[in-house]
Amino acid sequence: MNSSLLSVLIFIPLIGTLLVLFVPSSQKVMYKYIALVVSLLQMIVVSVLYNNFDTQRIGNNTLESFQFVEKISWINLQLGELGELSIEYFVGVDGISISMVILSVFVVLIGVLSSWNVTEKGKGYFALFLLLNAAIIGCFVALDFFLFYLFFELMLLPMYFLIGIWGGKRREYASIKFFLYTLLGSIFILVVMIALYVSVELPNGAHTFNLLSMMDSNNYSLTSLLSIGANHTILGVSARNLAFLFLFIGFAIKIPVVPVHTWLPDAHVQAPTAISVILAGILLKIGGYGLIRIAYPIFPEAAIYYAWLVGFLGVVSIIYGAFNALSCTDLKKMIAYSSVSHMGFVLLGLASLTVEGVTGSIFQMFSHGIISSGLFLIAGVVYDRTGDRRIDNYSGLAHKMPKYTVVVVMLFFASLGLPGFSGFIAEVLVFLGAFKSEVLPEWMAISATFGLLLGAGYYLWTIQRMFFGKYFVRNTEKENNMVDLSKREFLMFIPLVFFALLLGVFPHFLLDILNTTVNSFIAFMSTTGIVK
Amino acid sequence: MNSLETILPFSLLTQFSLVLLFMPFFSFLLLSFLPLKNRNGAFMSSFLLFVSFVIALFLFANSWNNPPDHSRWVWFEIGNGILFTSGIWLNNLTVLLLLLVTFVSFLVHLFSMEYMKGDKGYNRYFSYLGLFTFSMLGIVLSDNLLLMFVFWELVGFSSYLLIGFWFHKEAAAKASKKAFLVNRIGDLGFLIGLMILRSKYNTLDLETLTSVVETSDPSIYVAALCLFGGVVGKSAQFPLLVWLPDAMEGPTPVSALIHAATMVAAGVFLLARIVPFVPVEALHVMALIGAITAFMGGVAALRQFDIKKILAFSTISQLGYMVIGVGAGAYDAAIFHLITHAFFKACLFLSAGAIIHSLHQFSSKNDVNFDTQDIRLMGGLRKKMPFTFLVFLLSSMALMGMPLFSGFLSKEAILMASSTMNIGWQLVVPVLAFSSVLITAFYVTRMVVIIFFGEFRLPKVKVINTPNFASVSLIMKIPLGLLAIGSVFVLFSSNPFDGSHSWIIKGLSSHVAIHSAIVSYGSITLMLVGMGLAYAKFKPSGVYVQNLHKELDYQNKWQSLSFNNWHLNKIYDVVFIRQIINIANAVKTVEEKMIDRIINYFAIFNVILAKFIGLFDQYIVDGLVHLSAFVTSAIGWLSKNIQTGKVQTHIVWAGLGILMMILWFVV
Repeated sequence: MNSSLLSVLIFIPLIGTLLVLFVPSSQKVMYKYIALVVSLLQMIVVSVLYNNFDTQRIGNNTLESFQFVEKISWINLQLGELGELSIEYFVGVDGISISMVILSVFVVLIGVLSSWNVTEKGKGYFALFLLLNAAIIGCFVALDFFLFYLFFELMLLPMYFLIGIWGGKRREYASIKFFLYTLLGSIFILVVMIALYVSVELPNGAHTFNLLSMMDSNNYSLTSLLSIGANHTILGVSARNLAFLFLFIGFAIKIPVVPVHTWLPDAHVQAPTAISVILAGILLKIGGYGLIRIAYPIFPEAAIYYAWLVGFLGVVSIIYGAFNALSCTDLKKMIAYSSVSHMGFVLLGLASLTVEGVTGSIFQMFSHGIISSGLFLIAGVVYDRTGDRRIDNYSGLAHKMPKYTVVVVMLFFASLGLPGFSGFIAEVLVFLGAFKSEVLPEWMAISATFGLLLGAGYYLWTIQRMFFGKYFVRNTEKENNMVDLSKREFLMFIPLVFFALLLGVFPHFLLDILNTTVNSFIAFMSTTGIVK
Repeated sequence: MNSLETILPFSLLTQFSLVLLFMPFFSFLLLSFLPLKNRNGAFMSSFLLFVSFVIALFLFANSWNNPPDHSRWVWFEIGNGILFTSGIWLNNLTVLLLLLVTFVSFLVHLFSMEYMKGDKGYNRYFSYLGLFTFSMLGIVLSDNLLLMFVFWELVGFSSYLLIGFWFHKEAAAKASKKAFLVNRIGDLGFLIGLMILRSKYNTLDLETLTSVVETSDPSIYVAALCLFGGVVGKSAQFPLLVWLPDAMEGPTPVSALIHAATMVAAGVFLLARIVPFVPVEALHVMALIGAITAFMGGVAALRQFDIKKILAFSTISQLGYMVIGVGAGAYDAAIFHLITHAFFKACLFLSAGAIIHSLHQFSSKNDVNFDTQDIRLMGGLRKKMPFTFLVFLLSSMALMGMPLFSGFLSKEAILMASSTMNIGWQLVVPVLAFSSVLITAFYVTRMVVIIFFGEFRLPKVKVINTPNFASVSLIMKIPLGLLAIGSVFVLFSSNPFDGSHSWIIKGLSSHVAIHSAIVSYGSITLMLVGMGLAYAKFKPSGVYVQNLHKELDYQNKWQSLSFNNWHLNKIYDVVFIRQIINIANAVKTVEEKMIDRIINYFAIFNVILAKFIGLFDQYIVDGLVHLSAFVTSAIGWLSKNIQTGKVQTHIVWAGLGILMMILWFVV
């Protein structure tokens, strides 16, 4: 088994970025082909990873059971009294991260296909796009906190420019809002990262950013700020609880959780279609992934302590997001709010700390990644044709665009949790987990079901208004553009619908790689989290 | 924490069941993807359905009154050994329903071949029918509640597609949305029920649940009522009965299949599946809901002028009867009524379809436009459509509960059971059930008389040149005839007056069904009174019928109450739908005016702060820098001036220096 595959996965897009920069502007067409080839190569690497992945190995908090590990000492500094600063290039995957890697590579490919018509400043666009690609993969495979943080921040930069330059009318506002919001979250994470670095001391006296070392309570020097035994408090709150909350805020902004979600609708509405796809399909998952990989296992007892809060915010997001979606007049904004609602399930499932709930939570991330990518493509289709996304400005599109309508109906129903699609499995697991959870009250799962009803409400209402009834388009000048899906557009939807169906009917394709890791995650949380 | 379920081997019967299940699914796939011309698709899907029906016959022959056959395998596994299984559970109830669903679905396929001829979405229609039948068969075959929920939702989805089949019609689009949403309200209850059962018993397998559940447990009471929520939605019980009348916007054969014979019956079927572990107290609540539904549906049917609406409200009322049956402890009677009702109501709907079809052709032939479903414009169709009249009459008799017809047997069985609920508030149940007998007889008689007797009223309002009706084609007559035969007692019982002898009742339950002559005579009397009253008012020579073509929808508040289905739509609109939209708008305001504004103000605050810091930086920090630079340059200027290069000045400064050093060391 070739163990440098993960690095290959990260560096292919970086090489692609360089290539794009070197290709002269006179050969514009090359850019998108470079991006496409990069994505296809990544697909090949990922399929090798998937085939060689050992589903019986745990991962989670033990180095030995991670797979495709690369651990190279990167920065070593003697800092006198502070000891040795050691930062490692440390990557590896377990069941949870490989599922996210698979999702990312897949969604990025769809993103490339949907960028096919970008010609304006193509060089910059595809260079940034490929940089983003690399940062995403890096984020999901990093096992060193510093490395993770590096990739986490590296994602902001291309995203900022991609929205700010290629976005809609209010793109500057949206991109700055996105950037500042997420940066604020990063600062919270940075603070905790430094506190952890100072607190964790290996037997040889070195400090480290190694995430796995941070999960072991024996590695904390006894007097340090975040040591479990020391019980330090800051402003009356236990230091470890506070650190957990900081991480939670940092990642919650990314997910996003109500009430720190308001960057999302603006960013989505202004972003070009492909960037919306990446944003909804992958970037939001980094928030959930960060909680599972970093916040929860490093501070298990705080996670249990605040389970109620996390679950509650999950339920609030589900219902609040759904109500907002119901009141939207802009198709893309509605889909953006539906994302807020659906990501609430991730939080609720995770907070339950049951096998069902956490499995459902990760399944929901995967499923939402696929389905929401499709939904944003849907919004892109009408926007490309008329530059208008108001729901009221269309009616009876089913007459003119039957293929498009079929795709919309399938993806809308997938998103509202129709059995047979992946969202159903995820939501049922989250509900079962949240209901039987010992740390969450039962009313949370019960009130979250209301989100399903509202979900059906806004989707069906939209179908009725936009697609059924008499044919009508407000923008009569561009009416000639209202043609059905082109071959390229149709091609993008096929794999999305296919995988949503596949995982809905045969969920074991994903569950097989998740089960062992999730099981040990729960075991780890319940054994280390109880120690008080 | 391993699940209780064990893997059970794949039996031969299971394999046949799977073939039966997937035939309609193939029909759905083939018709969706193959570019089929003309009626080839319809022939193919009808053929696949026929294969299903033959397999159902085979399964019936092998399973009826034999020990149940249960196969179970792992659907998916999470964590370490937490299993979610799927499986097929064949017992008497299953095979009976399989037979019914495949039979009615096949007949509806046949009927639709002619009915839908010339429609643009001909293949689309048949592919939806296939998807629906597949989902419905899935509900029947499922061995656990989760799998059942899966198909349950798929039934809802395919029903959504079929109701909204003519999506260009605004009303159809709205009705399909309404049906799905109202059903979903009930389904939330179903889902919560699943959560309770799974967290409590760690299984959702029906056979396992039956053996492990303690009915004295209060949580099972809650769970049962939650599951009943799903039934209330799907079987259009009070208070969720509003979607079914609107669903009549779909093509009429669809109404026959989905909104009479199968989908709406799924709720009753679910009850029959879970009844072994439902506590008696919960059953009584169900019976009460059923009785209220039977009564409300019956009353709403009294003042309808749309033939399909009458049948829809009648279906609601009859579904209420079935729920009473389950609630009163006689689920066998409920299933019996489900079967007989499926036959006669499907027959009524298809006959209505035949009438609508003929009137439609009539309208295009004469080039006049009128509402082909309005009974005020019909009349005298007995002579114009004799075959349709015959089958309509037979199935109407069954619906009323006339002795010698199937409906009599099954309705008697339910009434017998309801009459055992006679303590305290429970008395409401038999009272409503029996009064609904009279109401049923009244509206059925009204419908039959107004449609088929007297004279054809359309010429009174429109100019008709060619008054001839096209005859109903053979492919439509066959389903009508077969279903009408099913409305007669012989198929179900050797004794036309005693339903308790029926093979269905005997096959479904072990206990001996009660039979009381008083109940029979009572209900027959009520029925005759209802018929008599209706005939007195609606007789063809009467004043009412003579002026019927001019009759308004309603003239007083009582008629309005019936015509508008107890104003439920209006009430729900004010109480729920508008409130939800208000909340959504309020939430939007909170979002834009509060949360986002706080963020923006925060940003503005930061900008202002930054300005202040900028000023501070410019004048204080930078001022200090400038000051220090100034001081330095001043010193430089001073010292520069010292270095004049003139010897005299140097000596003066050197002298001063020496002087200061002396002072320093000496003093």
